[in-house]
Amino acid sequence: MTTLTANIAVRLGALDLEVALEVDERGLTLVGPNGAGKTTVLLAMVGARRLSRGRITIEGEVLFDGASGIDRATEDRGLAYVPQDYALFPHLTALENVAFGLRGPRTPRIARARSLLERLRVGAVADRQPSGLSGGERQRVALARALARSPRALLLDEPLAALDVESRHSVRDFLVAELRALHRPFIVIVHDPADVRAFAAPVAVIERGRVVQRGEVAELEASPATVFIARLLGGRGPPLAP
Amino acid sequence: MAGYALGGGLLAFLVIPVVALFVTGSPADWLAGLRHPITAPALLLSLTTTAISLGVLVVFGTPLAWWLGRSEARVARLVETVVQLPIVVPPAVAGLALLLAFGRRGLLGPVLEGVGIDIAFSTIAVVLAQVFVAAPFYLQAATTAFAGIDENLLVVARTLGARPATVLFRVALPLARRGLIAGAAMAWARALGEFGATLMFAGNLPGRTQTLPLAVYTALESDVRAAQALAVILVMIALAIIICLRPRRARHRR
Repeated sequence: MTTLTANIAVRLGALDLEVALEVDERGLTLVGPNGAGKTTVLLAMVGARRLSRGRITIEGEVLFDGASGIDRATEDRGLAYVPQDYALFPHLTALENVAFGLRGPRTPRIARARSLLERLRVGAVADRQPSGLSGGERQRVALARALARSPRALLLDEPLAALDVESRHSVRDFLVAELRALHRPFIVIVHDPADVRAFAAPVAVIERGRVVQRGEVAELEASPATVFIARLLGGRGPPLAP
Repeated sequence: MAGYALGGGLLAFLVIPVVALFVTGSPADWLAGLRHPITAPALLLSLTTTAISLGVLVVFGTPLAWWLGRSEARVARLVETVVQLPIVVPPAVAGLALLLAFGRRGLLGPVLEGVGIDIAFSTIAVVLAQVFVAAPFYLQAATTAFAGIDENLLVVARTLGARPATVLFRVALPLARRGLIAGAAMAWARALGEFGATLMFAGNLPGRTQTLPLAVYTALESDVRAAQALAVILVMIALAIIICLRPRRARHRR
């Protein structure tokens, strides 16, 4: 089973982040209040934030190790990143967005990009620019783009936040099915309890730069460690301090 | 109501001189002016030197603007302020400063003389004066354009296997294109109109350092019609630039 591990420490302005995460093919949902450092965790994993120390590995291969000075470039880490707004390249069509990461002759690249779009059921909008796509379509194009390079793991930052209520459920079920079918580690940041339950993956809760609880959804529901978790999952709340 | 009158007054003040340039001469006068011996060399010199200046600015200025636009370092903000200096410095002062830096007896004079380069009062001096005064216009626009690019786009491009140079050419430059073009056009217009620094640093030598604005000044002493013809050329170019840039800006705002 492929495993992604990350021990990261980042100091960035007011944020003092220090978390250890381990993700396998079951995935990991990352929750926490705004400003807790969830996005920074993902950015640090892909190499877009400087770590003060830490160690990141995938399949046993070291991507970053502060102690020995290993720091693989973002483009060599093989981690796909889908930001909250999807960050589709606005000057390229959906098809060109997906083909962006593919190498080699043009014809097979385009063919592969097109087949990915079709598999994600957005083949019809291949020639549109991102500004002409709905939220759900954007998410699928972004997912197709991320999958195009067969990444070793996927990191998704609130992939459901930009969607309206109607499309949310179907898009979420689709995303959950796609991620499961990949058999690759994935981390998905969510903020809605329904989303946490839908992914049915182990959960890690980050508050003020620290992992305050991790476990299965049911475990967190049964004994939430903080008020935030209790409110999120609607449980009984932490035992009151004596 | 008083506001309209005040604003209208300024508007009239801005428009009347330009109108005067056109209505006080006839097309026949302008044709005669165009045939004046001072015109062709000045026009040619202006076109070649401004083209070189623009090339220098784009090649050297784009990397600097990238750094200014993307860096969060405090020193970047300081540099951003410093590179705006040529806008507020009087052109004559800029010319004097260039002379004191690159002139034969200037700061770098001995060094330049050592390698056999004599810059002052040469065509190179014309280019340097233009680059000096025009640089802020390109840098400011390019910096703003680069700063406006969503960081996520650059990060995602890297995760998709693109090296930093690929990210620059396939994502950053296309997205900053409008700002870069607008900045280049403004910088080119400023270089084309450059007068004071050129006069101080490069002189007014026909064929070598006498650009269009200097030719206007020179022609005024002998032949007002020639001066006016040259002026009309400059205004037409300026108008063309403003008209070309306007719709782009409007689209940008949407």
